[in-house]
Amino acid sequence: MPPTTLGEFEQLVLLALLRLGEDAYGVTLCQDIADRTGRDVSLGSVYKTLERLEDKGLVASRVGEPTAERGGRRKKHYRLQALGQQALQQSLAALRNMTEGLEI
Amino acid sequence: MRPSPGHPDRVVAVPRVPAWLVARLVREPHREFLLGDLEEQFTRAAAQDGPARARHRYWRQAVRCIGAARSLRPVPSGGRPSPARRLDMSRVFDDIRTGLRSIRRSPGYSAVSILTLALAIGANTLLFSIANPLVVRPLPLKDSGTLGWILMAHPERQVTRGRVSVPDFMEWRASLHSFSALAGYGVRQATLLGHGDATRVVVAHATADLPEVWGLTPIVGRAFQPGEDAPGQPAVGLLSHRYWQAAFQGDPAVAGQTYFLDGRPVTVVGVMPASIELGTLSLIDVWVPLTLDASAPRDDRWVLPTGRLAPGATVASADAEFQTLFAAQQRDHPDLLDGWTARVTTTQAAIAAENTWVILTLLGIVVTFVLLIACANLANLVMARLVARRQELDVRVALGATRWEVVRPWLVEGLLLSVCGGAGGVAIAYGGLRVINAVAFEPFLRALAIDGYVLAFAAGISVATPLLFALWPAVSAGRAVTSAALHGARIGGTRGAAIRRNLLVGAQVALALALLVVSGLAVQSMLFIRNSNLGYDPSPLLTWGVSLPADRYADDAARARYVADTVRALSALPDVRGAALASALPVFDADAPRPISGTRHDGDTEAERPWASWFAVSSGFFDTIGIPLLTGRTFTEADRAGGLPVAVLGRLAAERYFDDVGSAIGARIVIHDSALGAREATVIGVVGDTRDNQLLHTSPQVYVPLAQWPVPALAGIVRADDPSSAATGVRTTLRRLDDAVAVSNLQPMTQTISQALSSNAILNGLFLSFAGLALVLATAGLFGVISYSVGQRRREIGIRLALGASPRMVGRMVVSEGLRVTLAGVAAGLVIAMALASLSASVLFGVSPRDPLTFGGVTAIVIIVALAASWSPALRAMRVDPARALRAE
Repeated sequence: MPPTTLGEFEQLVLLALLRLGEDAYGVTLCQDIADRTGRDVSLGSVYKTLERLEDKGLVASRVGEPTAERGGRRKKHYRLQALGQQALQQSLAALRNMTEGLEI
Repeated sequence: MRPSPGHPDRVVAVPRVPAWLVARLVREPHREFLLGDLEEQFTRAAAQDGPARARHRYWRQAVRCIGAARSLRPVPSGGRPSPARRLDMSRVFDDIRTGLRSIRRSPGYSAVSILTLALAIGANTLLFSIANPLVVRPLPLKDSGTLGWILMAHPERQVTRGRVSVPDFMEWRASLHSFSALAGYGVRQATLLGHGDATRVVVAHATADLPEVWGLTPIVGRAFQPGEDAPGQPAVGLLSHRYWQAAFQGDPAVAGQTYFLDGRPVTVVGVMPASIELGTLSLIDVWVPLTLDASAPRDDRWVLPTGRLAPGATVASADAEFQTLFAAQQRDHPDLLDGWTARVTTTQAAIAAENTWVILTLLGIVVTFVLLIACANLANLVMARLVARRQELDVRVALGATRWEVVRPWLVEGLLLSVCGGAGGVAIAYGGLRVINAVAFEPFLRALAIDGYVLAFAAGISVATPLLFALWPAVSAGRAVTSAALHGARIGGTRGAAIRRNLLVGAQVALALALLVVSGLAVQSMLFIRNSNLGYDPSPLLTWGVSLPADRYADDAARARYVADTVRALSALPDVRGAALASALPVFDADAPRPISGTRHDGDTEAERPWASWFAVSSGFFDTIGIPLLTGRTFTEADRAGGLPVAVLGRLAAERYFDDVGSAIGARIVIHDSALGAREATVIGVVGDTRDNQLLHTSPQVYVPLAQWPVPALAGIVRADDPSSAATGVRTTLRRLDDAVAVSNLQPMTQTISQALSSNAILNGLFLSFAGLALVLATAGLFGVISYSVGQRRREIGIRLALGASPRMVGRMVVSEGLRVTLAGVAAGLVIAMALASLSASVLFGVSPRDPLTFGGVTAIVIIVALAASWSPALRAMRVDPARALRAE
């Protein structure tokens, strides 16, 4: 299978998944990316990216329990898959190779 | 992860609108997760940054969610979207977003489109709100479709919608079987006493069953009761809603009060509903029962019969029955009914004159043209934009987009533009109506307003126009793209597209030319009426009306005394140069034709019998009003009751009935008057003619001395250097003479004339502004198409220039292309203009519907404007740099 190339936002989402582990869902992912990149991230774009990544088999999702803080609604948790980890490694390696020796 | 600041007792509530939007627009299963996430974010933000920031953030996140999350799959696992999705509302929502974005991105195009649409929809809405009360809004009359109306006509006397006499009406009422009930009403003026100053009021005399036939229920008190219209009954009256509000401040206690109408006590029993105040009915102040007196004069025609058709009867069948009856009546009363025709007509024909329908039809055609021209302009813009985006369309079609998918965004964008334009159009119509309300004199025009029907109409055309200007070009371009994509060809530069564009512009020019011709004719006839020579100069004249109450002025001597006293008192006023009284003022008041005999051409049949408009005037009348004496003498104070009966003829009457002015002097004529009988009079003079009441024709006229023919209803006239400043003195003097005599409409004659012409001026204003709008739009269209075509042909022009064509030749080529389209449009437009002009012939005065000056002038204007429109694109073509034009490809 040819290695999957990742878009920039996809990389950010996968990295955030990696950091958050079990607690990764819409709000925390948004918050994490926003805190670390200073970007204004919308829930909609995060969900769209996650759906694309799920289609490619890079992430998996499960539905959690309802909480009061969410008005009694359930969360959708996401987890990084082995394929996702591999794609992330390749993509970051490519970035490192490209930036080697450059002063930027 | 940072600890979540838990606030179990949430005090700040999630903003409801965005939450509702997300819940509506995002499908499950995403809806639950998204709403949950949004609420969690909101709770955190509220704790951290306060509720205001949190709400703001919620809004922003929600709006962005809707956009992004709408493209999420409807089911959590894989699988392609179902084909049904293509038609669902979510796609339309996407199109609306795209449309809004593209409107924002090209503000110039959007502004021009919205403005064009606003003007065109505004013109249509404005006209609709004028026609609305006549055409659309349900008439306040119950089941107006099964009402029949009887109108009389006398073509020779220019009577088209005449009333009938009380005895005729009573005969018809008794014998017509086609009507289950035949009611009737007539309008007269009377003096109302007992409520403040004596006032002149408009009184409708109606049969007791009229409220029932029309289905009217009084809003206060009761309607007439059966039998209240029989002679000798105690008089009762109903106030109109308008008069009740104006004179009695809407006080319900007015019911039961007694007032005096022309000296007769009348007890108010109720108030009519406001809904009936339509057209001339809006002038009525008081309703009283019509006295059904079989001995009333048969030539006093003032009742309009209106009846409920019997079950099974139609207007046509009622008319058939009526014609038989009328023919028999004509045999019985040939002296009274010769030359008259009568017919049963529909409500529509009865409530507005035929000319009203002609004018409304014309205006309807005009605004439709304006709308079509606007649509043609926008269609051209859409076509140009389609061509500019042909590559994108090619790609989409190649990727399998259906034609509907290619067309839909254009339609949605067009819809967005036209909804904005429609809103602007309603605003323009509102402004236009305010102007009409302000300058109009007729209550009907003053009461025009925007109602639900008008709004619905504006919404309707706003939704319909995009079908014309966006759907059609997009569909045809979609077709071109679909086939062009297969053949690898280009669209837009094709011959077909160019022909389509030229066709549109040619049609615009044609429509604009036709509109300009018709409005040119309308304006000319307006000017004709305004400038027509009345027969005297109205500017130094002050006029008013009085009606002598029968109780105080019971006999001829009393009336003659009032006339003599008034003329003497008024003439003594310092700034008055002459004063007179008359039964009616020529031009000014409706004509009262009387048969005359004893002339040289008395005719053999009743229909050929001479007649003349009859005026009883005081001495000094001709000098005061300014009608010149041609020969003989006018009336003096010596022409009093008991003296030699005398008469003065107008020039036309003298020439028509006595061959020439001079030979009429000394002739003894007989004037037939139904109330006063046939009276002999010797012609003592001939004066100049005046126009008739319609300002259009001159009719034969006969004048008699008021002292010999005293009438109770009088028109007063004073000549003064400044008629408006003389008014106060005249009013004081009249009140001093007798304060029980009501004075009505005391104002300079010029003011009354412009009031009478104000409706005319409004219609002409509408014609002119609509036609001007059409010309501007058509010019813009022509300019746009020629510039666009120059832009498209830059390469060709470059080659021509490179091959040695001079810039002049190129310029000429561009201008001649524009001219070709224009001339084709002009030719078509002249044909349309001829058709419209013949349609409008009945409302044109003093100008031929084929007036060569108007046709020629308008054609010249259109051609000049078209040349101007192609001039700047031609200059641009002449400046094309061949090298750059060729490199660009």
